[in-house]
Amino acid sequence: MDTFTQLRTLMADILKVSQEEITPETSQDDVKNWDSLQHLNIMLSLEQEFDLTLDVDDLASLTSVSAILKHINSTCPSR
Amino acid sequence: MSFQIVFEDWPHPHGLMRYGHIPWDSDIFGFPFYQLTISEMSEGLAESLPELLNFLCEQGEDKCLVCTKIPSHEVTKMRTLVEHGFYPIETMVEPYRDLRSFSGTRRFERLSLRLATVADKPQLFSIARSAFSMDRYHLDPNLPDDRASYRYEFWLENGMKSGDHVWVYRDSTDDRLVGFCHLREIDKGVVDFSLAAIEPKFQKSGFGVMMYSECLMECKKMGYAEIVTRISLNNIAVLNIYAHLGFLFRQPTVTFHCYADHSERMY
Repeated sequence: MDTFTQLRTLMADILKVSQEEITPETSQDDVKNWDSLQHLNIMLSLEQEFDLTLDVDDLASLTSVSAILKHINSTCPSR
Repeated sequence: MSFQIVFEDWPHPHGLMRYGHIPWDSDIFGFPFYQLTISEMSEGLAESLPELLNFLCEQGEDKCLVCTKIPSHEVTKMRTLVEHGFYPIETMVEPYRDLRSFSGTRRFERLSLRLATVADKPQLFSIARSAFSMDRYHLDPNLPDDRASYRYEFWLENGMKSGDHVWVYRDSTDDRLVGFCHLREIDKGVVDFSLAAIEPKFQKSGFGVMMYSECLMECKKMGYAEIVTRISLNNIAVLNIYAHLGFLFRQPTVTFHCYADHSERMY
């Protein structure tokens, strides 16, 4: 499974939306359920799923699918 | 300024209504605000209500705002209010949580709560002015937005003066304020979570969840057994946070406003 597909499955599951609603262009403003609590849930799941350690600044900046993908690709070069 | 509302009975001692002048909101908005309570027996309400509204309007500025909170099951009373110019402005619930069973963990050491100081005021007030938009003062089209925003700055300032717990949620790396909490002891062992906000640029990023959790940990550490608060049902994001933190919900009430403006009668 590629990184985007893996991320889309994770996010659709947390945000309770269909997988089609999560695209590389999706940002927080596009998904009604993507609030503070669900953002934290996404961040915690990213750490588990992709073996990442996120810091405070990441929480504030990873607010779109493209930003998350970029972060995963830069911190996990093997992907 | 007094921070207590002194109530008087209407239309006679032990009558079915009580009204009280709200000095702080009257000062902020520049015309009289009143709080109205209606007894459980609402017979005669339809007759007495217009008389009271006229009386209040004649007390000073030719205009006034009267607010009242009605338990959500009292439909007949609500209908009578609407028939006399009141409009529903928000539905509130009271989240509460037993703190003795709460356990939280701090996720990032660099984020923590500390008591607000005088030096925090500019940042603190800036957050207070910009973070609220879904409360009844902002929702009411009869009230100016800038005054509604100032209300929260005023509230914080007075909270700090009167010794309430006003805490800032701070990132120690660059000493920036992420948010604040204002709490007040209302009974032995019971603390009221009066106000909280996150700096707009950090909203929807998980900081609110962490700050609220930290706040509960701090209250527990201080020996409080219960925390209570009030929230509008409009505010789904924070309701979700409360539910996540184990709060239960009680006492749904509908807040009504009546804006009476008789100034046109003068011309």
